[in-house]
Amino acid sequence: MINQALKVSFLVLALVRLSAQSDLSVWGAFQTNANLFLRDSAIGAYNIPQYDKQIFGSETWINLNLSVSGFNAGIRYDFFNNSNLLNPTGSYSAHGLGRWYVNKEIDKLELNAGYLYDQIGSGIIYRAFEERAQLLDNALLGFSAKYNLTSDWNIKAFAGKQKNLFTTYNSFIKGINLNGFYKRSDSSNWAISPGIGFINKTLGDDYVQELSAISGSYLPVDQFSPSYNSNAISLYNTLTAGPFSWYVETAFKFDDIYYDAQSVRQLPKGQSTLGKFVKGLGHVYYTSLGYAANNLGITLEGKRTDGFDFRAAPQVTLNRGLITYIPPMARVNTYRLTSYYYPATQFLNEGALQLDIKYGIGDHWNFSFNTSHIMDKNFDSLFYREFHFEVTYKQPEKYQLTVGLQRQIFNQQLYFGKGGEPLVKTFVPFAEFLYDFSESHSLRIESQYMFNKEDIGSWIYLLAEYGISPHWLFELSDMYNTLPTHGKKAINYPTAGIVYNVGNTRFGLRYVKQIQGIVCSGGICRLEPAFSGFRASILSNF
Amino acid sequence: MYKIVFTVMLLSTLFSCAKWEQPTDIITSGVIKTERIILIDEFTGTSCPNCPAGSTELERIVETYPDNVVVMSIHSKFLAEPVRSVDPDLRTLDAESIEKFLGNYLGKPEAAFNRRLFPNKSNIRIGRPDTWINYVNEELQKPVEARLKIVNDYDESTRELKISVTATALINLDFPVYLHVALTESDIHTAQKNSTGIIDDYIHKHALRKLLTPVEGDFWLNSINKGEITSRDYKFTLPSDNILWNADQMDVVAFISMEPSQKVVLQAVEQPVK
Repeated sequence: MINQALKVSFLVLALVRLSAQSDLSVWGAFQTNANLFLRDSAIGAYNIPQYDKQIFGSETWINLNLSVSGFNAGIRYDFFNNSNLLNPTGSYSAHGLGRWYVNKEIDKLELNAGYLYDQIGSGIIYRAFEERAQLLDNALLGFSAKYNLTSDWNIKAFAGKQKNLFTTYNSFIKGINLNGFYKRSDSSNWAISPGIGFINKTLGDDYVQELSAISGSYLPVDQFSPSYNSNAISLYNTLTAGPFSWYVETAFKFDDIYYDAQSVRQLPKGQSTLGKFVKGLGHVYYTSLGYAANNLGITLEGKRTDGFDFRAAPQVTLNRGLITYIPPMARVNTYRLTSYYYPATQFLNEGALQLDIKYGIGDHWNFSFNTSHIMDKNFDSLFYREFHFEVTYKQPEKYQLTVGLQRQIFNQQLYFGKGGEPLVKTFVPFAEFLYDFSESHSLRIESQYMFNKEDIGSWIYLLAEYGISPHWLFELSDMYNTLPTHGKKAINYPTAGIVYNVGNTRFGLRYVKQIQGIVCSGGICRLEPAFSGFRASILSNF
Repeated sequence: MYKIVFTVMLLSTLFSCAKWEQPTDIITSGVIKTERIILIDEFTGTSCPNCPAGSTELERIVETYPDNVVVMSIHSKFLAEPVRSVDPDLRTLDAESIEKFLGNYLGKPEAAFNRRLFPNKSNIRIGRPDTWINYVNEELQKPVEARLKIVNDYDESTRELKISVTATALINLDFPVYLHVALTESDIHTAQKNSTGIIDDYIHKHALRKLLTPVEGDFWLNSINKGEITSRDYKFTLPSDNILWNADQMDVVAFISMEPSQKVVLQAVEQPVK
């Protein structure tokens, strides 16, 4: 790791030296989160190392980028100390070079090397991205080349290994992607943006040997033929015609080995159990039809997924090693109680529809309606349903009021693994009021109430946030279980915070009690234990 | 346009490259014959919907290797609260201490095999029950390092249990050796969640009831020479209970391990209380 850092530092310094006379620009960012864990067994904040003995945990990222003589380069160093980001029930300590990259454009050719972020189409067959809130970093350590065939058509190719914390998964990923744009003439009122992408994955020897042994332990009826290579292909196009926009993508995956937790596996003596590796075809069909004109925006989306768990290592689970990114089909809610239940994208079996309508009247009124229906791939069993309506009235520079209602039906058996539990059905009325006392002083109040007879019961949430721009923000909130279920006690979950902004730097300090829940981001969710303690953060761009 | 046609042709060619690959053989190990006996810590719980799949897999392993595996089912707090209030609570503080002792985990069901951290694994506990048999096979292929024997003396009237554990080293064990002794119980009937609902009458086996030694084990010897025989005695009085602590369904489990920082189990053994 040290050698790697030295090599990259040398590379960066060499670039600087070479271009000592040139226009060098340097920029970067620093982000740190520090948690002080205060054990509170009443809310379940205990029994992990941070509460029991370590008390303090932190994560820090610092990155530095430079641009000189047509070269772009950067490095990022990551520190984790007693962090529970990787595994909410565990402790992770490590540090090292999190990323380096070099980029250069030569006429129509763009070359990249290092840890690369990219995607094909909407990301179904390939997406490399970073999501720090979940310690998710799927960068590809390798190289890529992009060639602009014309001003409207380009082709790119890449190859490498997917990042796995400070190492890489032992599988070699290669991809090629053609993207284009066609419009008959400047006066034409329609255009298309087609694309095609291809991914090949070659597993390492150790992965194939492990899969061979696993297959050998199955009864013959369940055995699969282990193989090194698997492929995925995606065809997509966006048709724009006047105010309409229609995106279609179809993706197939061949000969890939993946784990299906719901697949029946036979055991000796006629018994059976659930969960086995399978090898076969997977597909995703995704479409999005949009209309935008006259203060009206409508988006209708549809998706069908069957067997598309595509990972750099078939043996890994949860959000690790994912090559695929399948677009989520539910509204990303931001209020505390409207966002508690979120349907994680199902990689193996999902059929979904989503409709989103936004309409504005003049400078004052905005209406929004969203509904999503997520079911199994045959549209027989309900996984998730949501209706969300909100209206905002705005009096510019004086106040803004938002009120709305959310209805959710949530399959906790599927999303939370709570076998035998009924569907969760909630109503959440909510309101948000923002009042500007002056140009610099403002008050924001949020309130939500969740009517819920299942799972965690009914809750109320209130928040007041006072801002003194451009520097200060004060926050006070509480969440309270008005109708607990399963014999649990009603408990307050207060939060108090203060934020100070100066220049490009933001300091934050919060006292937080947070209910155990599911954190979802980008369609991927995982369990987050209750939190009790202080959270300090610094985010600075320079 | 010819460039586009060329690209599509290139993609089509690449697309068929999986067919170029020669078939890879499936590895079958068969049943391994050995004197080695391994310990499996199964992390489970009555409110864990996926855990019956793990227990079913373990039964398959026990049937395959009846003389080579000893199972301790660890009902630590996570997903182990009784499904019904009338059910016995299988959670114990000792189970919780084992969960902490073995470190990071993702969820349940998971199992540890001789408490070894296997290559390319981040945790000692391993999920995906369909893969467990491979870890058992891997452990059983290692040489036998010691023999263990348990002799129990149970008094029905006083419920006092006297245990004598004897170890014989088959190679020089040139490191500190720790001894662990525990009681497990089988044939416990409770409700159990599964992936589709609740199984009203589920039979739990190998449930850890009590550790008679500290979680890291009793320090036994700094080293044991090949052929050396050593023993240690324990006493415990079984509590009286209408449902649990049924001596007819209980076993004494003993195993020796390396020092607490290493954790790895060298050999295990199991003997019915009666």
